[in-house]
Amino acid sequence: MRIKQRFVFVFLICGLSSMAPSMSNVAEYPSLQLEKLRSGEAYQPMKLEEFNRLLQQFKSFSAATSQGFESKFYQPQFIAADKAVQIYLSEQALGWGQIAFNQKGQQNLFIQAPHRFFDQYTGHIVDSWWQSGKLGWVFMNSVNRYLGKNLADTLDSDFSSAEPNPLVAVSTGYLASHNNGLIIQVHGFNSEKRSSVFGKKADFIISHGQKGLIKPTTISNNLKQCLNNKLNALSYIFPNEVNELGATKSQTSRALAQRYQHYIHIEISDSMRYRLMNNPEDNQLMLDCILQLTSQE
Amino acid sequence: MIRFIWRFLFLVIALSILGSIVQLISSSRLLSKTSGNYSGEYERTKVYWLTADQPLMFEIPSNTAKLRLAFNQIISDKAQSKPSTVQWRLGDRTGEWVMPASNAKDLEDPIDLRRFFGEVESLPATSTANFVIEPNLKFGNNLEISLRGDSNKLAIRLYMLEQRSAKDAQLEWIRMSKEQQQEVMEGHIYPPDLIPFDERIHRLSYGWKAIGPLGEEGKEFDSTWLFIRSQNTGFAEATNNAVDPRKLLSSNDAYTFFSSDEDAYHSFSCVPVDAAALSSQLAVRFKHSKALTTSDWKFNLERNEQWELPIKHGLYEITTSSTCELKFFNRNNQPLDNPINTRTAWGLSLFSPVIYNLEPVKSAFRVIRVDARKLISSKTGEFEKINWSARDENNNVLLNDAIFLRNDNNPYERLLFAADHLTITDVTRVYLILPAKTTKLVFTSNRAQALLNVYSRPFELAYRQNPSSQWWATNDPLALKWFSLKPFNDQNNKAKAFNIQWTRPFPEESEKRSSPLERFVALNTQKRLAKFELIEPVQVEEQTEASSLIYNAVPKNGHIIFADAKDRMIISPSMLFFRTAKEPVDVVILADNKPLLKKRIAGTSGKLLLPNMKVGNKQLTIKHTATESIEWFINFTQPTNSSLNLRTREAYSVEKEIVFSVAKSNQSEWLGILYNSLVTDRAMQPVSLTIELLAQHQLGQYDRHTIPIQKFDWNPLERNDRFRVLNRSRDQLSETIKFGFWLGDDIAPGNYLIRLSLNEQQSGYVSIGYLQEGLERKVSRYNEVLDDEN
Repeated sequence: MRIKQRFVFVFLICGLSSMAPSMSNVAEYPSLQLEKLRSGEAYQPMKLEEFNRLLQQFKSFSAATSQGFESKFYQPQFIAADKAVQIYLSEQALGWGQIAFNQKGQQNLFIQAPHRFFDQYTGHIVDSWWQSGKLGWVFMNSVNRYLGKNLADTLDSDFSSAEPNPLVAVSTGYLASHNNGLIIQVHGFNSEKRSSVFGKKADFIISHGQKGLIKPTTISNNLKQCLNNKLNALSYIFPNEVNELGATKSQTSRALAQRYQHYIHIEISDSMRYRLMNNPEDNQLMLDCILQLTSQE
Repeated sequence: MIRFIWRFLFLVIALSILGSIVQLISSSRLLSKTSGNYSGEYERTKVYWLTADQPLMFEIPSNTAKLRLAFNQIISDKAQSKPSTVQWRLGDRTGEWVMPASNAKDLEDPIDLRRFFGEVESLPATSTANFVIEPNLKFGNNLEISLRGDSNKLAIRLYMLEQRSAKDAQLEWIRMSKEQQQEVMEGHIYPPDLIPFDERIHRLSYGWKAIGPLGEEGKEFDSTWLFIRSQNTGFAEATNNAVDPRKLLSSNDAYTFFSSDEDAYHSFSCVPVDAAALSSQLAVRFKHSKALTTSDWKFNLERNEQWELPIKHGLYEITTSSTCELKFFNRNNQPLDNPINTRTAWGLSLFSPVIYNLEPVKSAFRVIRVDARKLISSKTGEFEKINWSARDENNNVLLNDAIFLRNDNNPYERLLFAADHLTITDVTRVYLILPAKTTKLVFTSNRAQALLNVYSRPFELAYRQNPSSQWWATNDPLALKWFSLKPFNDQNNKAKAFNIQWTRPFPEESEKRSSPLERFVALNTQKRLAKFELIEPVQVEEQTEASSLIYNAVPKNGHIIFADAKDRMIISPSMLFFRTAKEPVDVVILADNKPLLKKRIAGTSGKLLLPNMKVGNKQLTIKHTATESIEWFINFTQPTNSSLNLRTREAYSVEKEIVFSVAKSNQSEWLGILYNSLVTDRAMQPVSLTIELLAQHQLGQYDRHTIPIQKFDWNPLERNDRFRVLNRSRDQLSETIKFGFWLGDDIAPGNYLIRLSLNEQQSGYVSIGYLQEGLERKVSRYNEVLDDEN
């Protein structure tokens, strides 16, 4: 016979399951997150003389950071008292992105997320790397790449295709002052839209932005091995293992063609971005793989 | 201080007095249950009278999974009474039940005299009719029951099936005494301490509970007691013996289970819960996979019959015409828990990778089978994959790939003990050929949630089975012995186990056994082998067309019609002869009285090639000098199923072993191997035939796995004089044994050697065929579970 009993229990739940995150890092490295669009935000196409000016300005800033970044195109967003951490945001009317510098971080590494709004989570991923204090240089866009596409006179706000553009100016300026520098651009792709089997499978597609590379470089191979080992990911190297998403048409790739070994373009699948966003440990593992590249040199 | 002590003492005394009063009341209530006018063999239940002018309203609690209404009526003395119609409304749903008229004849049957209203042996009641409603409480939770005007009054009880959360059930279990736990788990083979957590929680999660009607203040319901004999009263009569919802088998479902030799399951019963079964008898259909027979039983509502399972080992399927409660019993008629086929799978999600540690192997590589099922929740998308990597002892990736998960639903599997919104997809199965030095297999997922089963099998383990004369019957590569692996667990890494309940369709429903067309090939052998022509009798169907392969007996009147399936006008027919004597004889064959062929034949069998001829009617005359009769067969004539039809095929003689090469041209390909044992005068011996593929497997992930060594054992069937080898009078053959050999996608297209070897003292004839393109076998997807080692 089944006995029915009802017991009333009072539970005292000590709900301290998650500890509050340490706030010290947050204070030291303010978040680079931006609202999708600030009011009055726009993208102003760059003139050639502006490109040259920005190139020079960034070259001198990256060579001597203590002087600060003196450019009428960018406004300081955050400057630490000892100038060890500096964040600059472009004038609202220009929409030329955000630049962050950290003296304690890896100086030979320049992380860029030029499609942070459209390539979902890339902004979050790079921001969390930045907040770990291990990055020396960061660049992110400040307006969506498709801003202005709907205008009567179509406006190209995309740093990959607009010519000339502030990303190329900053990248070339940086490499001019850092001979051993490594630029890593972080992008995102949709697996379902890929045409090749490997493209569909891939979590990461690693490229130097160049078509004609006969075999993978050591640096791209190292990155691939590390990502595969640590994240159990499927990484493929363009053009040797996968024949799409090589960023060969990107303006940065074209500008840095001579120094392609110093430029890596990483495409991250949507599901992997979801994982990195939701799993901070894995996000740190990816950062470790990236930091390893420059520490080896 | 003293005042405080006095107050405290007063409180204690007052409480103890109150306690004893409560005890007195409760014990007197208890007494009233056992004393009185009825003995212990009756149980009583409160019932409410439902009359035409008094509808009843019930408030249904929100945690109700099912509602069961039980009705009884007074057995009328009158020979003819009317059926009653009950109408119900729950939210916006309405319905109607018709209660059959009570029959005065019931009174004559003493067995049925076991229910009474009011007092025992006072007012006889009919047997109970049950109705089950599955409430959808979104649109209102009041159940209104009314009786149509001209109906007899009915006694009604309402029970709700309370569905409680696992947490509540767990708390209840913890709070129970040992005795109470034992009582709850009565009939279980294990003591309460050893019963698995899930099982006891599940049993406590459901329970039937009586509900009283809603009424106005001060208004009393017209109610009475229903007395039911507690012995052999059946499930529906007493609240404590109510229907177990997990045992209900509806007419839409089929209950499939494996019965093994070790099981205690001896018999089963299926008692209907729906009174509708009264009007039409309940039919239970019962099938067994090995016997391939179907039995039907029909029985009445009140009979609680049990049927013995006729064969111990095998797959059973039970279906029913109306919902009934399925119960299983052991040899001593004690109830057992229903057999459930479950498989444990390990959960893979974003935060919990699943890792398998692999033991080193001696072979060059190892084979792993992965069965993945996608766990569908609200967050999942269509296009999802999981990653795997094979790693060495330094945790470096040796090989990696992704498995895209299927989205199809599998109606034969469901998750046990899981939240309702979680469902699983059909299994995605891949085979991994991994380097031998793999020590770890790691599965991760970026977003998809999946359930994993990983199996291994020693690469050189021969695949041993009994072949059948049926082409596809047993040659299923999935029926291999695979060994289930358990994931590596430690404090940081703990894969969550899920239980999947599975049933499977019967082979005849899931498999389309299209008989494939054999495309026989000339074997490319290392040694030059003699080719023979083998004759076997075939059953022709009405539609069979005239062809060069099928030979028909020449009719006695000699009238034949030449035709050709390919619609050629000119054909090259041939004739076969069989006779007993060996001496040479002269034969003249005439067509329409014109000489066609003149030949001297020798031996007991042979083939004569006729000159090219036009299709159409011919009058064939065969003249010979032999004293005994000769059997004649000819091809290119329309076969008739009344006459004996023969078929020829090319075969090679095998003694000990032969090695031959096959060309694999497709991604995966079936080889069909036909074998006839040579029958000698010695006693028939069991045959053991081994097929070994001499090919290099490729590392990676594949859909089909090639089993390189397969061993077939069987006892040759009796010799059949109709299986013969042309021009070899002494060779008598056993019947043809057919088996298949898969060349999976783990072997690249190309030419491969296959070694076919026999056990000692055996010899025979073998033909190799390819499965013709475009015809693929639909393999039952659920066969592997027989060998699960979970």
